[in-house]
Amino acid sequence: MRQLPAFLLVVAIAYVLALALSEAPAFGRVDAPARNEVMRFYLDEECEQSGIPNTVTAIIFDYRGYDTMGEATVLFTAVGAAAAVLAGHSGTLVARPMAASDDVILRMVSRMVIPFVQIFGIYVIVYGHVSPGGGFAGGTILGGSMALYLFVFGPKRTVKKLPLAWGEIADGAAAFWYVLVGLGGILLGANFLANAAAGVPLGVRGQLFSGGTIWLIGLGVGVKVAATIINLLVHLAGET
Amino acid sequence: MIGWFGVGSLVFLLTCAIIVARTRDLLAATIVFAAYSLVMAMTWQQLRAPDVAITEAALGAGVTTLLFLLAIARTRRTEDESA
Repeated sequence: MRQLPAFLLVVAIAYVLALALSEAPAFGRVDAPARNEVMRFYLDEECEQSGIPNTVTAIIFDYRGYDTMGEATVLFTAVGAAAAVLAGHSGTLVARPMAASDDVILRMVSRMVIPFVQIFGIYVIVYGHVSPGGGFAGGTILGGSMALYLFVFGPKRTVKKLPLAWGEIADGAAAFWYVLVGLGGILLGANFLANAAAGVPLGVRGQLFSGGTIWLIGLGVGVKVAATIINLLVHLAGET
Repeated sequence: MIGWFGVGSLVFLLTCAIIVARTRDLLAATIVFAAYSLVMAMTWQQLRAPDVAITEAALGAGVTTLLFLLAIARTRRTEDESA
Protein backbone atom coordinates (compact mmCIF):
# COMPACT_ATOMS: atom_id res chain seq x y z
CA MET A 1 0.00 0.00 0.00
CA ARG A 2 2.91 2.31 0.72
CA GLN A 3 3.97 2.01 -2.93
CA LEU A 4 0.56 2.97 -4.33
CA PRO A 5 1.28 6.76 -4.66
CA ALA A 6 4.58 6.02 -6.43
CA PHE A 7 2.84 3.58 -8.77
CA LEU A 8 0.11 6.12 -9.59
CA LEU A 9 2.79 8.79 -10.21
CA VAL A 10 4.66 6.48 -12.61
CA VAL A 11 1.44 5.67 -14.49
CA ALA A 12 0.61 9.38 -14.75
CA ILE A 13 4.08 10.26 -16.09
CA ALA A 14 3.94 7.35 -18.54
CA TYR A 15 0.56 8.58 -19.76
CA VAL A 16 1.88 12.12 -20.32
CA LEU A 17 4.97 10.78 -22.12
CA ALA A 18 2.86 8.52 -24.35
CA LEU A 19 0.58 11.45 -25.11
CA ALA A 20 3.58 13.59 -26.11
CA LEU A 21 5.05 10.75 -28.17
CA SER A 22 1.81 10.25 -30.09
CA GLU A 23 2.04 13.90 -31.20
CA ALA A 24 5.64 13.53 -32.38
CA PRO A 25 6.21 13.55 -36.16
CA ALA A 26 6.93 10.18 -37.75
CA PHE A 27 10.53 9.12 -38.45
CA GLY A 28 11.91 10.76 -41.59
CA ARG A 29 8.87 13.00 -42.20
CA VAL A 30 9.54 15.93 -44.53
CA ASP A 31 7.88 18.48 -42.22
CA ALA A 32 9.59 17.30 -39.02
CA PRO A 33 10.84 20.17 -36.78
CA ALA A 34 14.43 18.89 -36.98
CA ARG A 35 14.35 19.45 -40.73
CA ASN A 36 14.93 23.19 -40.56
CA GLU A 37 17.24 25.64 -42.29
CA VAL A 38 20.26 24.56 -40.19
CA MET A 39 20.01 20.99 -41.44
CA ARG A 40 19.41 22.15 -45.01
CA PHE A 41 22.45 24.46 -44.81
CA TYR A 42 24.74 21.64 -43.67
CA LEU A 43 23.44 19.14 -46.23
CA ASP A 44 23.50 21.62 -49.14
CA GLU A 45 26.62 23.68 -48.48
CA GLU A 46 28.87 21.31 -46.52
CA CYS A 47 30.36 19.45 -49.50
CA GLU A 48 31.25 22.73 -51.24
CA GLN A 49 32.69 24.41 -48.17
CA SER A 50 34.76 21.65 -46.54
CA GLY A 51 35.13 19.29 -49.48
CA ILE A 52 34.41 15.98 -47.73
CA PRO A 53 31.44 13.62 -48.21
CA ASN A 54 30.88 12.80 -44.51
CA THR A 55 28.80 15.70 -43.17
CA VAL A 56 29.00 14.44 -39.57
CA THR A 57 32.81 14.56 -39.55
CA ALA A 58 32.73 17.99 -41.22
CA ILE A 59 30.47 19.35 -38.47
CA ILE A 60 32.52 17.81 -35.63
CA PHE A 61 36.01 18.76 -36.87
CA ASP A 62 35.33 21.89 -38.94
CA TYR A 63 32.13 23.83 -38.21
CA ARG A 64 32.16 22.84 -34.52
CA GLY A 65 35.93 22.37 -34.23
CA TYR A 66 36.12 24.62 -31.20
CA ASP A 67 33.56 22.50 -29.30
CA THR A 68 35.47 19.34 -30.18
CA MET A 69 38.63 20.86 -28.72
CA GLY A 70 36.70 21.34 -25.47
CA GLU A 71 35.62 17.69 -25.56
CA ALA A 72 39.24 16.62 -26.06
CA THR A 73 40.09 18.64 -22.95
CA VAL A 74 37.37 16.74 -21.04
CA LEU A 75 39.19 13.46 -21.85
CA PHE A 76 42.43 15.04 -20.65
CA THR A 77 40.76 16.00 -17.37
CA ALA A 78 39.33 12.49 -16.92
CA VAL A 79 42.75 10.85 -17.23
CA GLY A 80 44.25 13.50 -14.94
CA ALA A 81 41.62 12.79 -12.28
CA ALA A 82 42.09 9.01 -12.56
CA ALA A 83 45.86 9.39 -12.28
CA ALA A 84 45.56 11.74 -9.30
CA VAL A 85 43.28 9.32 -7.43
CA LEU A 86 44.81 5.97 -8.42
CA ALA A 87 48.50 6.42 -9.32
CA GLY A 88 50.81 5.21 -6.57
CA HIS A 89 47.86 4.02 -4.48
CA SER A 90 47.48 0.51 -5.89
CA GLY A 91 47.82 -0.91 -2.39
CA THR A 92 44.96 1.13 -0.93
CA LEU A 93 42.29 -0.38 -3.17
CA VAL A 94 40.47 -3.37 -1.72
CA ALA A 95 41.38 -6.01 -4.30
CA ARG A 96 44.83 -6.82 -5.67
CA PRO A 97 46.04 -5.54 -9.08
CA MET A 98 44.67 -7.42 -12.04
CA ALA A 99 46.58 -10.60 -12.97
CA ALA A 100 47.21 -11.98 -16.45
CA SER A 101 44.88 -14.65 -17.79
CA ASP A 102 46.29 -18.19 -18.17
CA ASP A 103 43.59 -19.31 -20.63
CA VAL A 104 45.26 -20.65 -23.81
CA ILE A 105 42.24 -20.02 -26.05
CA LEU A 106 41.93 -16.43 -24.83
CA ARG A 107 45.64 -15.76 -25.37
CA MET A 108 45.83 -17.28 -28.86
CA VAL A 109 42.60 -15.71 -30.14
CA SER A 110 43.41 -12.24 -28.83
CA ARG A 111 46.94 -12.50 -30.26
CA MET A 112 45.40 -13.17 -33.68
CA VAL A 113 42.55 -10.65 -33.43
CA ILE A 114 44.38 -7.59 -32.01
CA PRO A 115 46.37 -6.67 -35.20
CA PHE A 116 43.21 -6.72 -37.33
CA VAL A 117 41.27 -4.63 -34.79
CA GLN A 118 44.11 -2.09 -34.75
CA ILE A 119 44.24 -1.90 -38.56
CA PHE A 120 40.47 -1.35 -38.59
CA GLY A 121 40.80 1.39 -35.95
CA ILE A 122 43.49 3.18 -37.97
CA TYR A 123 41.32 2.82 -41.09
CA VAL A 124 38.31 4.37 -39.32
CA ILE A 125 40.48 7.26 -38.10
CA VAL A 126 42.19 8.17 -41.40
CA TYR A 127 39.11 7.55 -43.59
CA GLY A 128 36.73 9.27 -41.16
CA HIS A 129 36.04 12.10 -43.63
CA VAL A 130 35.18 9.77 -46.54
CA SER A 131 33.32 6.90 -44.85
CA PRO A 132 31.42 6.62 -41.54
CA GLY A 133 33.60 6.98 -38.47
CA GLY A 134 36.20 9.54 -37.53
CA GLY A 135 38.68 10.34 -34.82
CA PHE A 136 36.47 9.49 -31.84
CA ALA A 137 35.14 6.16 -33.17
CA GLY A 138 38.49 5.00 -34.59
CA GLY A 139 40.38 6.06 -31.48
CA THR A 140 37.95 4.06 -29.36
CA ILE A 141 38.51 0.96 -31.51
CA LEU A 142 42.29 1.42 -31.29
CA GLY A 143 42.09 1.91 -27.52
CA GLY A 144 39.77 -1.09 -27.24
CA SER A 145 42.35 -3.33 -28.93
CA MET A 146 44.97 -2.26 -26.39
CA ALA A 147 42.41 -2.79 -23.61
CA LEU A 148 41.95 -6.38 -24.85
CA TYR A 149 45.73 -6.86 -24.55
CA LEU A 150 45.59 -5.41 -21.03
CA PHE A 151 42.80 -7.79 -20.01
CA VAL A 152 44.42 -10.93 -21.42
CA PHE A 153 48.11 -10.37 -20.71
CA GLY A 154 47.83 -8.26 -17.57
CA PRO A 155 48.97 -4.73 -16.71
CA LYS A 156 52.64 -5.72 -16.20
CA ARG A 157 53.18 -6.81 -19.81
CA THR A 158 51.02 -3.96 -21.13
CA VAL A 159 53.16 -1.37 -19.37
CA LYS A 160 56.26 -3.12 -20.72
CA LYS A 161 54.89 -2.86 -24.29
CA LEU A 162 53.50 0.65 -23.90
CA PRO A 163 55.01 2.49 -20.91
CA LEU A 164 52.57 4.74 -19.11
CA ALA A 165 54.81 7.74 -19.85
CA TRP A 166 54.45 7.12 -23.60
CA GLY A 167 50.68 7.03 -23.32
CA GLU A 168 50.68 10.26 -21.35
CA ILE A 169 53.03 11.92 -23.86
CA ALA A 170 50.75 10.80 -26.73
CA ASP A 171 47.75 12.15 -24.84
CA GLY A 172 49.31 15.55 -24.25
CA ALA A 173 50.94 15.77 -27.67
CA ALA A 174 47.62 15.07 -29.43
CA ALA A 175 45.90 17.85 -27.47
CA PHE A 176 48.80 20.19 -28.30
CA TRP A 177 48.58 19.11 -31.97
CA TYR A 178 44.91 20.16 -32.06
CA VAL A 179 45.80 23.64 -30.78
CA LEU A 180 48.73 23.86 -33.25
CA VAL A 181 46.42 23.07 -36.19
CA GLY A 182 44.04 25.72 -34.87
CA LEU A 183 46.85 28.28 -34.59
CA GLY A 184 47.75 27.49 -38.20
CA GLY A 185 44.50 29.18 -39.18
CA ILE A 186 45.62 32.37 -37.42
CA LEU A 187 49.05 32.20 -39.08
CA LEU A 188 47.33 32.02 -42.48
CA GLY A 189 45.40 35.20 -41.65
CA ALA A 190 41.98 33.81 -40.69
CA ASN A 191 40.25 32.68 -37.50
CA PHE A 192 41.38 30.02 -35.03
CA LEU A 193 40.77 26.53 -36.52
CA ALA A 194 39.83 28.03 -39.91
CA ASN A 195 39.96 25.50 -42.73
CA ALA A 196 38.97 26.51 -46.27
CA ALA A 197 38.50 30.13 -45.12
CA ALA A 198 42.26 30.28 -44.37
CA GLY A 199 43.13 29.01 -47.84
CA VAL A 200 44.03 25.45 -46.81
CA PRO A 201 43.89 23.34 -50.02
CA LEU A 202 40.89 20.97 -49.83
CA GLY A 203 42.14 18.43 -52.38
CA VAL A 204 39.92 16.13 -54.44
CA ARG A 205 36.68 15.20 -52.65
CA GLY A 206 36.53 11.52 -51.67
CA GLN A 207 40.28 10.97 -51.63
CA LEU A 208 42.37 10.13 -48.55
CA PHE A 209 44.20 13.47 -48.32
CA SER A 210 41.29 15.86 -48.69
CA GLY A 211 39.28 18.24 -46.58
CA GLY A 212 42.20 20.39 -45.39
CA THR A 213 42.62 20.50 -41.62
CA ILE A 214 39.81 17.96 -40.98
CA TRP A 215 42.18 15.08 -41.74
CA LEU A 216 44.91 16.47 -39.45
CA ILE A 217 42.51 17.12 -36.57
CA GLY A 218 40.91 13.67 -36.93
CA LEU A 219 44.34 12.05 -36.69
CA GLY A 220 45.12 13.96 -33.49
CA VAL A 221 41.75 13.16 -31.92
CA GLY A 222 42.15 9.47 -32.78
CA VAL A 223 45.56 9.27 -31.08
CA LYS A 224 44.20 11.22 -28.13
CA VAL A 225 41.14 9.00 -27.55
CA ALA A 226 43.19 5.79 -27.87
CA ALA A 227 45.80 7.10 -25.42
CA THR A 228 43.09 8.26 -23.01
CA ILE A 229 41.38 4.85 -22.92
CA ILE A 230 44.54 2.83 -22.38
CA ASN A 231 45.88 5.26 -19.75
CA LEU A 232 42.60 5.19 -17.85
CA LEU A 233 42.41 1.37 -17.89
CA VAL A 234 46.08 0.91 -16.90
CA HIS A 235 45.56 3.25 -13.95
CA LEU A 236 42.46 1.29 -12.93
CA ALA A 237 44.16 -2.09 -13.39
CA GLY A 238 46.93 -1.17 -10.95
CA GLU A 239 50.70 -1.80 -11.13
CA THR A 240 51.43 1.90 -11.65
CA MET B 1 8.59 2.29 -41.23
CA ILE B 2 10.03 0.00 -38.55
CA GLY B 3 10.01 -3.61 -39.72
CA TRP B 4 9.91 -6.81 -37.69
CA PHE B 5 13.68 -6.54 -37.12
CA GLY B 6 13.31 -3.07 -35.60
CA VAL B 7 10.43 -4.16 -33.36
CA GLY B 8 12.42 -7.22 -32.24
CA SER B 9 15.45 -5.03 -31.47
CA LEU B 10 13.38 -2.58 -29.43
CA VAL B 11 11.75 -5.39 -27.42
CA PHE B 12 15.23 -6.87 -26.80
CA LEU B 13 16.51 -3.43 -25.69
CA LEU B 14 13.61 -2.97 -23.26
CA THR B 15 14.12 -6.47 -21.84
CA CYS B 16 17.85 -5.87 -21.42
CA ALA B 17 17.25 -2.53 -19.71
CA ILE B 18 14.83 -4.10 -17.21
CA ILE B 19 17.24 -7.00 -16.53
CA VAL B 20 20.15 -4.59 -15.95
CA ALA B 21 18.06 -2.60 -13.49
CA ARG B 22 16.62 -5.63 -11.67
CA THR B 23 19.51 -8.13 -11.45
CA ARG B 24 21.60 -8.20 -8.27
CA ASP B 25 24.67 -9.82 -9.86
CA LEU B 26 26.90 -6.96 -11.02
CA LEU B 27 28.88 -9.13 -13.46
CA ALA B 28 25.70 -10.43 -15.13
CA ALA B 29 24.34 -6.88 -15.33
CA THR B 30 27.56 -5.75 -17.07
CA ILE B 31 27.33 -8.53 -19.66
CA VAL B 32 23.65 -7.79 -20.36
CA PHE B 33 24.54 -4.11 -20.69
CA ALA B 34 27.15 -5.02 -23.34
CA ALA B 35 24.50 -6.98 -25.25
CA TYR B 36 22.20 -3.95 -24.97
CA SER B 37 24.89 -1.71 -26.49
CA LEU B 38 25.51 -4.14 -29.36
CA VAL B 39 21.82 -4.27 -30.32
CA MET B 40 21.62 -0.50 -29.83
CA ALA B 41 24.47 -0.15 -32.35
CA MET B 42 22.48 -2.25 -34.83
CA THR B 43 19.45 -0.04 -34.21
CA TRP B 44 21.51 3.10 -34.90
CA GLN B 45 22.62 1.52 -38.15
CA GLN B 46 18.99 0.74 -39.03
CA LEU B 47 18.16 4.40 -38.39
CA ARG B 48 20.90 5.31 -40.92
CA ALA B 49 23.33 6.76 -38.38
CA PRO B 50 26.46 4.67 -39.09
CA ASP B 51 28.77 7.14 -37.30
CA VAL B 52 26.85 6.73 -34.06
CA ALA B 53 26.62 2.96 -34.64
CA ILE B 54 30.41 2.56 -34.83
CA THR B 55 30.94 4.68 -31.72
CA GLU B 56 28.20 2.83 -29.81
CA ALA B 57 29.68 -0.58 -30.71
CA ALA B 58 33.23 0.42 -29.75
CA LEU B 59 32.48 2.59 -26.72
CA GLY B 60 29.25 1.12 -25.34
CA ALA B 61 29.86 -2.57 -25.97
CA GLY B 62 33.66 -2.42 -25.66
CA VAL B 63 35.29 0.16 -23.45
CA THR B 64 32.40 0.79 -21.03
CA THR B 65 32.10 -2.95 -20.37
CA LEU B 66 35.85 -3.18 -19.72
CA LEU B 67 35.67 -0.21 -17.32
CA PHE B 68 32.84 -1.84 -15.38
CA LEU B 69 34.62 -5.22 -15.33
CA LEU B 70 37.82 -3.62 -14.00
CA ALA B 71 35.88 -1.72 -11.35
CA ILE B 72 34.11 -4.94 -10.26
CA ALA B 73 37.39 -6.91 -10.25
CA ARG B 74 39.22 -4.34 -8.11
CA THR B 75 36.57 -3.63 -5.50
CA ARG B 76 34.93 -5.87 -2.93
CA ARG B 77 31.21 -5.96 -2.37
CA THR B 78 29.92 -5.00 1.05
CA GLU B 79 26.27 -4.96 0.07
CA ASP B 80 23.45 -5.38 2.55
CA GLU B 81 21.53 -8.36 1.19
CA SER B 82 18.45 -7.66 3.28
CA ALA B 83 17.82 -4.29 1.60
